[in-house]
Amino acid sequence: MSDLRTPLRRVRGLGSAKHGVMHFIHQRVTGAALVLLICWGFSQTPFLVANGYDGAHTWLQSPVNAALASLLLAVGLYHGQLGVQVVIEDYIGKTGTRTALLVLNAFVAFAFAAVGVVALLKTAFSGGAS
Amino acid sequence: MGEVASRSGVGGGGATTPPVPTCGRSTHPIKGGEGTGRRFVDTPVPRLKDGREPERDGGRAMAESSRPIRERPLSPHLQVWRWHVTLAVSIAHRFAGIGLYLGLLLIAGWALAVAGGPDAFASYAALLASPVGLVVLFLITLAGFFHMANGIRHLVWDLGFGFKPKTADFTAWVVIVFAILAAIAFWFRMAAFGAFTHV
Repeated sequence: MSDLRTPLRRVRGLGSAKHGVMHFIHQRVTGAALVLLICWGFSQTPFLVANGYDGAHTWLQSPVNAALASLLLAVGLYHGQLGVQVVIEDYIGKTGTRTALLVLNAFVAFAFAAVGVVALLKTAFSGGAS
Repeated sequence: MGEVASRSGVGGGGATTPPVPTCGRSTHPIKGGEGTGRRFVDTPVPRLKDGREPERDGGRAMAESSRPIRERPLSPHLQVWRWHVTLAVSIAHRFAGIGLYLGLLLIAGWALAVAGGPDAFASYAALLASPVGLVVLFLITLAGFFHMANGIRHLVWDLGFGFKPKTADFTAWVVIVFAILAAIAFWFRMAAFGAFTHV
């Protein structure tokens, strides 16, 4: 017998959904990836900020820069979504409010990740400096 | 099950007893359940360990066992802990993480500004180069170095090392000092590159 819940408990969707471990692992693995990505990002920022629009545009023509910047945004926002999810689950007790905030958290994180990555790629694919 | 609970469990405690959440044995009303006991005749009736029927104690055992569950505090319950450097770093880790979430939204905005062309980029850069913008950016870099260093501390914990109180205190201070020094060094480097001077 692998499931100690009663059928009623299971049909209501309460108790373990067996996803807790994946949350834990994803948070750690994205965290480890972000250590590298943030170090790279911090090393690049001074060049970027110093050279204005043309500098940023030229910088994004490099496939490595465009790819790593996309990863930084996407992996970072996924990591942030996982982390803020835990904060919401810790401090918001009311089921309705909690659910609404969890959904909002996911919407904001993935919407900004998608918009940011597409914007980066648009610049990256737009050809030489304007 | 609902019928069993309402007949012999909580409901038996008296009409004035407020509804009490029961552990898995619901009082959820099943439409048409009341007075039609036959429909549930083959539902097994739960018995206490010594074989008594549950109604003999008037449902008090159930009501009492469920009361502490209702009053459990939410984790991590900040106000009961004495102030300590590991506590401070733990709380700051969360705030820094939330701040970095906002920082990533700013980076997404920067990506949009670059994609929008020179004019969009100029207004976005001017926004970031304003005094408020620079303070926010400094705090985000501070949060970035802090959250990264403390994240590595967490990863080391996950491997099973660094739990001794003295070690944990020491690494907490290392994280704080590193974050402040790294953020200052980062902005000196930014200044050396002439960042924001063109805006």
